[in-house]
Amino acid sequence: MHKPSENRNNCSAENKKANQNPHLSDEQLLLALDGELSAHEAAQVEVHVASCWACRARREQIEKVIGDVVDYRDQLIQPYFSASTGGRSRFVNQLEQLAAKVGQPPLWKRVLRATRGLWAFSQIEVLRYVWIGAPVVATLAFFSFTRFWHVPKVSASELLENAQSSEVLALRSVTKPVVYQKLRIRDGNQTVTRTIYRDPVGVRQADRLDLVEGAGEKVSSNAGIRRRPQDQPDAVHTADAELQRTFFTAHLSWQDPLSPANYSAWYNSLDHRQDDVTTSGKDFITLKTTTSEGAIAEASITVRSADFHPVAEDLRLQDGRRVEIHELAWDILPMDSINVAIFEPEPALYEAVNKRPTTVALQSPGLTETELAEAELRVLVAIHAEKADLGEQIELDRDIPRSGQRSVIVRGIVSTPERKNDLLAALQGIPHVELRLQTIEEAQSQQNQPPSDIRLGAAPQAAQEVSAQEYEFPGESFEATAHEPPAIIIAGRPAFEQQLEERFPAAEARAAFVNETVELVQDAMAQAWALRRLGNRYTPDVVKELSVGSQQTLALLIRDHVSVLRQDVDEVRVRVSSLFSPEFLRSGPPPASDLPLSPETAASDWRGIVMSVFSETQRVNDNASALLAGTGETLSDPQAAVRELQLALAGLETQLPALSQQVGEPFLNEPKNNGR
Amino acid sequence: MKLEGRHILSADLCVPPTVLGQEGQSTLKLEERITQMYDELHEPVYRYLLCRSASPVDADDIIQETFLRLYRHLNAGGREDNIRSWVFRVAHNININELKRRSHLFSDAPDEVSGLEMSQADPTLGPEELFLRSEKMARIHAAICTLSEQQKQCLYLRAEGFRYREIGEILGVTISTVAESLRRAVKKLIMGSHA
Repeated sequence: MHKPSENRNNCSAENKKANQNPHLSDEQLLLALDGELSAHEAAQVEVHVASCWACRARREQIEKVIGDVVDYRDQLIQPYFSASTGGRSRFVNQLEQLAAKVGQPPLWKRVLRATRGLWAFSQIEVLRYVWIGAPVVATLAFFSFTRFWHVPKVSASELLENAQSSEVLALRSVTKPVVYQKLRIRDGNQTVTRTIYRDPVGVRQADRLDLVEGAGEKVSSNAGIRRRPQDQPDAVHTADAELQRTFFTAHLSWQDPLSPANYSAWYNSLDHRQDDVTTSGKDFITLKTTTSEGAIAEASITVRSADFHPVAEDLRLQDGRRVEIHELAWDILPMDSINVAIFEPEPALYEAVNKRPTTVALQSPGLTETELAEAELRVLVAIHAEKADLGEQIELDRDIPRSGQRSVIVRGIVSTPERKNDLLAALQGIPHVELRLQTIEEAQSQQNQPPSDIRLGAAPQAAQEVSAQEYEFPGESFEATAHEPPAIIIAGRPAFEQQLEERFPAAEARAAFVNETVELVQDAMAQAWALRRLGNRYTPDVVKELSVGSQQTLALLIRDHVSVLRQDVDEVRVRVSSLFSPEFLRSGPPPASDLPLSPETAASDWRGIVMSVFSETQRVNDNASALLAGTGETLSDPQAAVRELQLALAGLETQLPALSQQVGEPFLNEPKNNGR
Repeated sequence: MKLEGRHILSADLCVPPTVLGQEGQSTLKLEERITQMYDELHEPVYRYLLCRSASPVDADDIIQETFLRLYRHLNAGGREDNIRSWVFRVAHNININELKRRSHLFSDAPDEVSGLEMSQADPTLGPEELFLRSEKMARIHAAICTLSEQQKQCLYLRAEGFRYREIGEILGVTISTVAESLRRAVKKLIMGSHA
């Protein structure tokens, strides 16, 4: 699941608006009121509201509505509370009967429960002095000695969230940031220091690896910051390759070894894990996670308690190996202060590597289709969390990029540097993924360069691919561009013009009604496109590549789109129905032959329903736009358009719950029709 | 009536602290712990179920079934790190299944609400204030009737003090969907209040 603070950007259209609009969105105000923003974001909202009367008035409006809802709820249920008084004794009787029937749980279960209870108890911030009076006194004495209470107590998820926020905030402190980081990495008996210069905006990185032996003595190194393996001494290259292989085995990012996002992604992927958050004095907090799943048996991440910046990570793999990462230095530098030549692209990496007579299979494309599919799904989830799957120019490829291993490549063009940073932050840490995102400005400046100067060749290509063909069924490219719902073109008189004028005599109110309805229809189209892309991408064969957990994630992703689409359709139905007059409805209910077929007969699996949903949403879009906004040619038969719209809405009313229900079951494992 | 459900629980651990505190982790039998949890959570769950179209009798039955399932769950060594969300999730699902199985016995139709409103009017209010309050309730009711089921569910769960993450877990949707549903619900309610 995703943090709402990550989702504060609304759909792409609203993003564009937000960039031009100095005011806070309703969503930002509501998230702030609900305490769902990070401390930094909440502070920004407070600062804005303090200076902006318009936003303050809107916030008060939202607060009033919240108060009204609670008031209404209390009024609604108050008379019925007395009716529930007899239930307790009946429940106690039933419980006693059940307990007598079931009996005491086995000893091991009681021990397990007691252990969990103790663990849970240890998490409670309000200490119960009656129970632990003496330990409290002792603890306070200890606190007074160590000033331990200055360290905020946090849960595992809070620690990881804060660490990620810390990273993002630090990057925002400089206009064109470059992350400088020096790490000491120990893998078994081998120790290296790694110096990294990372350009998060341009997605470039320069590394230097020094092999260290004994008490920090440097035995071998490349002379400067180099990116080319052929420039490395053999010993360093071997160490580099072995470390990369270790990281790869553990599904970790070698690009950013100390990334909290990476740790968080691994952490969230675990179904069973045990956490332990401890403090070291007042300066550091450590999260230790133990699990029996995957390649990592135990991992710990240590952050500074002052700003949650990660400074160390310790990994114990299931095969007994241990990797320790310690940060020796870290800074955010302005791009102007460094020599950008260190980011010079390496020529023909693969050729260079293949020419090396080394025995280390560094560039072995060892990734399986399953691993790529899992990585791709994680990318889709991250993009979805940022609402970037609703028409933004972002596409996914499976390819062999500069790193030499098959990866999922995320390329695309986004509107602003802020949007790019948000997406990079959301995608950071997902293994086997290469990011090639650019702003429109960056893409344009590259297109204006002579061909020989173009360095990130993928991005201009992405720009040209905006009009590419839609991606159809499994291949190596997942096209997410060119699907933005078409903008409404006002070319004729809306068929509902008279009804609109009667209902909304004021032109301003009329325009607001039409615009909001058209936005809803367009959002519905964007959701339908997203569903269609998922339907095209996830054939039964592709689904089989996914783990059970990932299949559930995919189901959640589909349900999310269905949920929003249902809300859109409901709202469009209410809005349009309010304009229907008896004259328009004279034709009566649609004949049975015109009614949409039931999902059971019309579609034998979820992908079939998705296609039906898509075509019905398109009908809603076409007819609602024609009736309300007068798109295309003036309608010769408005009644027919109304009927079409009614049919499409009725079809969606049946199909969307069916789709939601079908993906709520283990539908992905057992498609009813594999031949589809 | 108690305050919002959130006050019952500690920050991130959703097992009622009073239950844990009184139990002392192991001294109470599981039946007694379940009974205590029932006492603490009955009211908010009952309130939620009534808002979600369950009749008082059905709501009591659903709560009993939920806590009997909770007993079986804990007796089988199930996790107890978020009991409150667990209880709401199970009660929500039982209610959905019940609603599918039979027609609603309790509806939030406007007529019932206005009758309800009059019967519960504050005796200290004068006739004009009574009328204004009644008007206001009818307006809110009309606006709430325009919300989708999911928007209502999110709204009432939020009113019970659940965080977006917990609402997502209870309803089986992502946090972004919860945020979007609440945003739309609030927007509709604001529009309704101006109607």
